[in-house]
Amino acid sequence: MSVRIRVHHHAHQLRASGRLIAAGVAIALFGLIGTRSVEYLAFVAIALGPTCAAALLERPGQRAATISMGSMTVATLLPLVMGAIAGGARRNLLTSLSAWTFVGGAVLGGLAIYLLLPAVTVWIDDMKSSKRLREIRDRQALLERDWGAEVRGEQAK
Amino acid sequence: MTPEAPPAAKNAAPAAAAPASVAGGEMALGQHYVIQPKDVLPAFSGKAVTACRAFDRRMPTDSFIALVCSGEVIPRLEAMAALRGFSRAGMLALRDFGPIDWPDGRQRLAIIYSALGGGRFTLSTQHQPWQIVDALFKPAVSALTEIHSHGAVHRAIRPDNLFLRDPGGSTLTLGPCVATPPGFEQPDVYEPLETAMADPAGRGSNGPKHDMFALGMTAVAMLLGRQPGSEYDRDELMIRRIEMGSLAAVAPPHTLPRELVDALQGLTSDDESERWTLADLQKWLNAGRPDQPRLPDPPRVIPPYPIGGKQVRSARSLAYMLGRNWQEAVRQLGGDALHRWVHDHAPERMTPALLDRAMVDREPDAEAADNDALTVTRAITALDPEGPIRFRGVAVDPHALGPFLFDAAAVPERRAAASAIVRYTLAQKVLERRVSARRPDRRRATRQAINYERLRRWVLSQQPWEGYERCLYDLNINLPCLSPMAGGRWVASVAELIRALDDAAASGRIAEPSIDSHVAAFIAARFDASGDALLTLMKPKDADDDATLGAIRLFAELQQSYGGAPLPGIALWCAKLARRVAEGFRHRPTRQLMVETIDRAAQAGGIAAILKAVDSPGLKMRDSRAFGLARSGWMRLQLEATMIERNKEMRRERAWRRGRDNAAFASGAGSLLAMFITLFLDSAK
Repeated sequence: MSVRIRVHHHAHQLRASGRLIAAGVAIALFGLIGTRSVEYLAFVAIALGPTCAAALLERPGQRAATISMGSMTVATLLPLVMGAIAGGARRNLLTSLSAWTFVGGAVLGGLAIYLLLPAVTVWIDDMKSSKRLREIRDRQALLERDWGAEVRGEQAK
Repeated sequence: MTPEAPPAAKNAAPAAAAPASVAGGEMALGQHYVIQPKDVLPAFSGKAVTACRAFDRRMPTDSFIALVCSGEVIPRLEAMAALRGFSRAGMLALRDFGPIDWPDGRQRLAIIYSALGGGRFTLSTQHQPWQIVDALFKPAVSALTEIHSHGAVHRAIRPDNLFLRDPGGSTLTLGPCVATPPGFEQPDVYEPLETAMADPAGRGSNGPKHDMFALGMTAVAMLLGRQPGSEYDRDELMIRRIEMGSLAAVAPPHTLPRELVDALQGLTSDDESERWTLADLQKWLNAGRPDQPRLPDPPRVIPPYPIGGKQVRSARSLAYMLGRNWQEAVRQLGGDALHRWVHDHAPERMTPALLDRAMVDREPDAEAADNDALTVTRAITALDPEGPIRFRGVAVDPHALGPFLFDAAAVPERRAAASAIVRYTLAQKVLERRVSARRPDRRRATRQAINYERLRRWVLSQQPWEGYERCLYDLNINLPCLSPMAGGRWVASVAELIRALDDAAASGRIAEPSIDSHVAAFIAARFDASGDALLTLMKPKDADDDATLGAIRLFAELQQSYGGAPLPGIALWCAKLARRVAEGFRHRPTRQLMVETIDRAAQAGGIAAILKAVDSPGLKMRDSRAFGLARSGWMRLQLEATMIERNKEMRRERAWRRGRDNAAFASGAGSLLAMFITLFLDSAK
């Protein structure tokens, strides 16, 4: 009992530390972006809106959708925002259709990963089970062919 | 070799191994002789034989007689084998013998004799002594010298079995003697006392001196011109013979011609040790003087003892009458009168003590119903140790159990008595009492006792291949197999039995592999077969695999022992048995292979190949072990399949969770891809 409480306590500490680090990285990133362009900061904030919504909807510890959409969104935002800052902050991302297309694609990609991967895993698992069942039935049929119905533990008819 | 069984004739195999019919209803015996069953010769036929005309293809003008045995008694095959092909003055020449196909569809034993021109001798007139010497003694001495030199005895010398050599001539020839058991057709008077008391089928070969007695009594008959003692009934004649002597009982010595009286007294002596031999008769014929038998003691005046309506004056005649009236004997032995008469008046000195002991002796394992009869038998043996075994009204010489058992088999009461004689080893007990049978050769006596004990064990046995039939085949070594399965064929050896069974099986007459008690006993007696194998063949459905294999092995050994010729019929039987064994194997491919091999071997008639297909040491055990492993393997697979089907929802839920949990990792890879795509596409603008 005490071991389980200790493990649970460690997990809680790790989660808290992760959040702290993530918040620190986010504040640093947002601060860095905000010092260059408030518009870019707004673009990032709006782009992360679906991720935040997912985070609000999902239970703590089970935020697979948040992680999927968030990582995809961040991976798309970083080259857009960094590229715009590197280009002299002259590009208006808030009104850029292509930027929003990339962000939308990333959000949808993250959502797709979240939604499709479990189904694909179930399908693959079903295939493997069916194959094993077929192998079992074939092996049993072989035994019955060689030894008769008695091999089932029944009397031969 | 059993005590009574005659020695195995080395060439006793019948002449015609494969009898054949020829045109016109004639039967062929061997390659040369043709028998005409429609041409019956009543003058030569007897109680147990039918005489037919026969001819030799090589000499069509010569005349032959075929004596066809009825099968009701056992012919003397060992004597046939000994006498075949020999010819001498005074004897009918036995040309050949063997089984023939008789018109009733069965095979019978036929014996070919040369036919004489003179026909059968009839006893109608008195003969002169010189006629008897010339017509009877001289040719008979010649014939008996030949017969005895081959280790055989005639045992059928009597007036109505004499034949005239030539038409109108007077020289006599001894008639056939091998178609019936020794002494079977002899009227009592032509038999010495000890065998005259026995039943016709139970007289035994005994020795050459029995022929000498019959010859002497035949001479008396020719002198008298009638059957000696025909004026007395059987019991009266026997009592007279016992009390007065055989010769004096039928012809007082003073009435006999002086020229012949010595020979007749010598030949008909009731004491076998004093009876003339062939050499004595030859010496007498050559004007010599052989030793004469001791003259009987002058008769004393003895008050007679009445029994069975007769008056007896000696222990031996009393024993004879006790044997003839055994139920009355039980009553008389239970009273005092008989014992008092024996003590006070019986002329034999030791008899009272022996009788007293016989009355107190008991058979330890006797059935209650047999106690009285056994007491009578013991009393008779005490009163007449030299006589035959007498039990429940039957009488048999201890050395003639074989033909007697065969003869008794058909009548239930006689069969029961014959069984009891073997069961209580009465033959051994009678022989132990006989002074004349006491031999210094202890080893032979021990072997004889062991053989009687073995017969006793067989007759008591409940095993189907033992019992009465086993005793029958063991005591009669030339007896053919009597089973209906032999199909009426004369089956004298295991090889012939195998061929007969093969034919029966091949024809479908006997579809299921099975044998009856006669076949089992015949094989057991003639071939060293295991009891389990025989039992399997008698009750194949009750047999286990080992016993079934034993039965197939028995046939395989028989096939190999007798030349290895294909036996398609028996192979079918063995195939059926082998399939039962094969069906016991659980591994289907092995079973299939076995059945295919069995079928191939059955078609080829090879029983050894059938045996080899199913008889592999340890294979059955390996099959059982492998089946156990296969069954546990099947169960394990079934359990796994059940678990897969039963836990489907749980497994899918786990997979779903796993997929969802893996979405975070998958999105990491997706993020890298998304970053590179964004960099590439965005920078391209």
